[in-house]
Amino acid sequence: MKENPAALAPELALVVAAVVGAVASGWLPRRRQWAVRLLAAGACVGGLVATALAMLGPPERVFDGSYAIDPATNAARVVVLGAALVVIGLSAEPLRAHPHESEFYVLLLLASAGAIALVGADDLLTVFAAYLLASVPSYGLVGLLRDRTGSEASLKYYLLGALFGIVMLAGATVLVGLGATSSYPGLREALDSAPRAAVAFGAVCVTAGLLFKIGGVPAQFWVPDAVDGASVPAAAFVTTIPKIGGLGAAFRFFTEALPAGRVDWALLVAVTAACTMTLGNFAAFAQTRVKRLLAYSTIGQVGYLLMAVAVAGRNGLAQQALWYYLAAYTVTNLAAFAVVAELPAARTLSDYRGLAHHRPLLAGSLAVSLLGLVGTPPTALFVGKLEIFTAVIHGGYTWLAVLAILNTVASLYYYLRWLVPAFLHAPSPHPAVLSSGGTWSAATAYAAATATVILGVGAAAVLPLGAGHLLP
Amino acid sequence: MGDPLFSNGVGLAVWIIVVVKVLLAFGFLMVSVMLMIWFERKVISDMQNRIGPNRAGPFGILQTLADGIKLFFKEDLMPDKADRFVFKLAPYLTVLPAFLIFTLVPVGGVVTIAHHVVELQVADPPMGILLLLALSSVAVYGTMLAGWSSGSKYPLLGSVRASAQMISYEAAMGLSVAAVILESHSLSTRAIVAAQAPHFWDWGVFRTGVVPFLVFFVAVTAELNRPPFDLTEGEQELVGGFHTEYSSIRFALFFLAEFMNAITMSAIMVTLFFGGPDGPGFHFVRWLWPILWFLGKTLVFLYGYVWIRAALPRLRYDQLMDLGWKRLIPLSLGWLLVIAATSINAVWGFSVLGGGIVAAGVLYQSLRVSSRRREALAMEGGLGRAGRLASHQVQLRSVPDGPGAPVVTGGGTSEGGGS
Amino acid sequence: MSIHPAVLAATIPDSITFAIAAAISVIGALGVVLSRNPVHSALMLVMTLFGVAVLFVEENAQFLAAVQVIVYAGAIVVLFLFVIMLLGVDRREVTERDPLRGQRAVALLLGILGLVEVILLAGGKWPTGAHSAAGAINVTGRSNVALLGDAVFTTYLLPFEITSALLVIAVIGAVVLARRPRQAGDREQPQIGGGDIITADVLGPDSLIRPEIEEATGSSDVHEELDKSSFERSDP
Repeated sequence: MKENPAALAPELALVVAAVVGAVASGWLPRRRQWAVRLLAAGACVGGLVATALAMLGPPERVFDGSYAIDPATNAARVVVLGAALVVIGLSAEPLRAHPHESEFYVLLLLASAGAIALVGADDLLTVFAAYLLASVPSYGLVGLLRDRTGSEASLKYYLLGALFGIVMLAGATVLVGLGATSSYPGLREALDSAPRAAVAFGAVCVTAGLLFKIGGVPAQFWVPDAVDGASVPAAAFVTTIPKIGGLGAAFRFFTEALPAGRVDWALLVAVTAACTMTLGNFAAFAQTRVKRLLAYSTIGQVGYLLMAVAVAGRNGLAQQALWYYLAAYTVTNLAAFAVVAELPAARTLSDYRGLAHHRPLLAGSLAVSLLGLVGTPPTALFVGKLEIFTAVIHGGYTWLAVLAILNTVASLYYYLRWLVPAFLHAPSPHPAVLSSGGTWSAATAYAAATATVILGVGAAAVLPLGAGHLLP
Repeated sequence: MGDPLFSNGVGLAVWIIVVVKVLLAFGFLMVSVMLMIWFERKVISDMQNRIGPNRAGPFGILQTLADGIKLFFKEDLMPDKADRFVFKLAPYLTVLPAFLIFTLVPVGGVVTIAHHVVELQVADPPMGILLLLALSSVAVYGTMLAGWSSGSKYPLLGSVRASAQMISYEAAMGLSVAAVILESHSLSTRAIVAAQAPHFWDWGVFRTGVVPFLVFFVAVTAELNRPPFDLTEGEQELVGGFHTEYSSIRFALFFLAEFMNAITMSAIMVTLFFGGPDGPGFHFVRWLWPILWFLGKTLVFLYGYVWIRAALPRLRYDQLMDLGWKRLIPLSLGWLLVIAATSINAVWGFSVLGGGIVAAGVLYQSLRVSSRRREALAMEGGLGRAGRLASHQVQLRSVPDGPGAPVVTGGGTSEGGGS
Repeated sequence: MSIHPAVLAATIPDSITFAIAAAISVIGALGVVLSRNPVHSALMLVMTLFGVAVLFVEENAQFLAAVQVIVYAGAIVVLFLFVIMLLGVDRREVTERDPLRGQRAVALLLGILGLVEVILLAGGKWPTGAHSAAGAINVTGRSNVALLGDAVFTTYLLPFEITSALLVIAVIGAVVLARRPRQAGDREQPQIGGGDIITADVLGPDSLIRPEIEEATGSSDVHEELDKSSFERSDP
């Protein structure tokens, strides 16, 4: 039994910084809350350093086998902490001197810790605790603005989260009842002889909970409302960080907890992936508000990501593809949100008319991120899509790959609906809608867009980081 | 583990023993309530230089009985707007927890009746002391529903106050009980008593370092709505509090519950902190001495309650809430940490204690600064509506340490002194 | 001292206790649904919780039973009652019109389906292959409370600690969602006594949480608010 808290240094850094920030927020004057922002960023950087150190060590299982520190967990730490840094960067201006600015960072840190814990958890109970840790702060983040749409979004998010949480807990209960243990390796052994129907029921229920986290069909209802109702930083957060945790947890759950060949979970995930990407992409066609469009686009992206989960364990490619795609998606998606944060007054697609004329660099970032989301060559998601399609075809789901390619082509339409006015149309007579949000948001947008390209070009160096076997 | 009475299965004899135990406990409580009311009235009269009840029976000892009979024959009124079912139910919901908590108290040692080892307490469940917390949290219902179901405003206000008060003090109470559990390593009341033997310096009050006992005592007094925490029925403000609309036997039940609670909680305090029935015994009638010790210790606390009632004025409501949330809860939480650290070793214990004192000092200082600042803000707000509106736009920074007016800066470019 | 096997087996008193507790739970649950008055529903819920607590004791899960009463009956339902009383929603609901069309029929259908399922499951062991897959928890003769403590602080230490982080979040979330943004000069001196008796006094002059009730009603007079709630209630 290893109970070495130092093994959890990145997570602990987040939680400790969150607690310190929460206490400090009670005393800090409103205009001096940047101290908490600095603290949060410091915790993320510290966590990244600790992760780098952990990557050098051997994979291990800590806390009585309930938490695995292996390549997947380390990849999750890097991606989540990086994403948290970007979110902190793009939220500097929209939240400056907001009465709840410090609380935003505190909740962000805690939710990030929850997302990492979701990936690392090697035990059903830990997964559920991490699910709550990742979910509950998100409800607060979405409702932070306390205006009408924000409250409604928060309530919808919360109610769905509670519902799927209960479903997940019920599934976990069934699995624990069947296996007499909650640890993944133990379950894998015990479920081999358990009745098929009960295992399937438990697995489906646990998957439902994780699907809520990642916003996949049939638990995708909250995504458009939460993203549209929340502030831009909160929207950027809920569309990236929880998804990293949920997908990592699903990957580990399917490969480690379920015995091979007992239930055909791969087909279930494949069908879910197909539905998710199709629904997300086609619903995005009709959107006119940018945040809603981005929300549906993330649902589509989750569909591609679920493809990697569907072929989990079939070949070594799947895991590498999943983590690379997650990193690429995170950066690209956050770049798009950073552009939205930089233009706080522009809410609809037509508000972006003539952006290239006013702000050529920003328009460039937008183009890189949106074309990146489609998967245009120099960007990271192009490599990511290639990786995932290869893994899926090798895994025997050619039909899924074909569907995904069709979806990709279709998605070009709605991204172009956003880009065309920005580049081709004449500037609108009211340039006020394109007024700048601030330097930080713009800098974040440029940086994230650059990172998208660098990640794509340097894919050969980054790809192996996500590989490496999960702990058996 | 568990009650030895049931270790050989449950036969007829066991059934009878259990039923007799329940009846005895109930009878004991009823009689002691009767005596307690008389005792309280007598002691208070003494302290106020009066004679007190002296007509019914020797020294007026039967006065309570007479009052009870009188109440029983009075007309039972029910307000028009009352919710009939809940109105009738509420008094019983108040009495029941009071009695059930008493069933957990070990009154004496162990006796053997017809080859059955019988513990002198009604029940000894393995989660014993948790049941105390559970039942005291259930006791809120009686008060709350009595006020609500009366359908009139003073009772409702009284019951809202009472339930807020009871819920607030439950936290402090639970934390101080946790300190005892940490020392006795068990939740069962009998095991808690056993852990406090054999010397009086092994009693919980000393082993937990007095603080949890003090917190528990205050919290329980507030929990019971006894003076000086009887804001629930503050006559000057709320007529009679949650039981304003009650009359006749239902009112008597509330009265009964109040005194029953006082007795029960004194007994619980003896159990948790003063060794329960522990004390020197003699060779003849061995089983009797523990009971006498228990009763004696309980009587001391009952006297203490009466004394407090006679001596202390009632708290104001904000003082009550301040005491609960800002003093007792942090204190008992901090003390729990100290006890936990001490059970590792003394070094840990003292460092946590020292750290706690430093942290409390810092907290106190910062609260003082913030309240000074707030006063300055209030002055600012006192300028009138126009001034208040203007100050919405203006960020007030801090109060400089030296004399002078508060520094008011616009926009937020310059920095005032930090706290 | 280990428990005699005769106690572990279901004896006649056990069966009687089970029957009574089960009946209490079911009657309470029906009462929650069928009561017209929200306060009565809440009370019925308490009754169900107590019935279930007794069932837990019956299963030798004493800790669970105590916690069930402390947390659910002692805290959560009290909170329900507070909300019902203070917001003055304790009057009859309008039940003639459904907010969701056809929900009664669907509810009835689902209820019957659930009941049939439970009856089918209770009759056999085909879904799981065995009546119990995990076995009794206290085989070693230690009490359930001690075993639970061991499990929570060793095997499940990490989930337990994560849960403690959840409590921090809950506090922050409550502050974020309930605290009215305070602005300079917003604060007024609390009036002790008089109309503000609850808003000012319960929460105290230093309280972070300013009562929403003032905002909602546009007046700080809680007497008035309480008045409404008690008089608007229709006759039972």
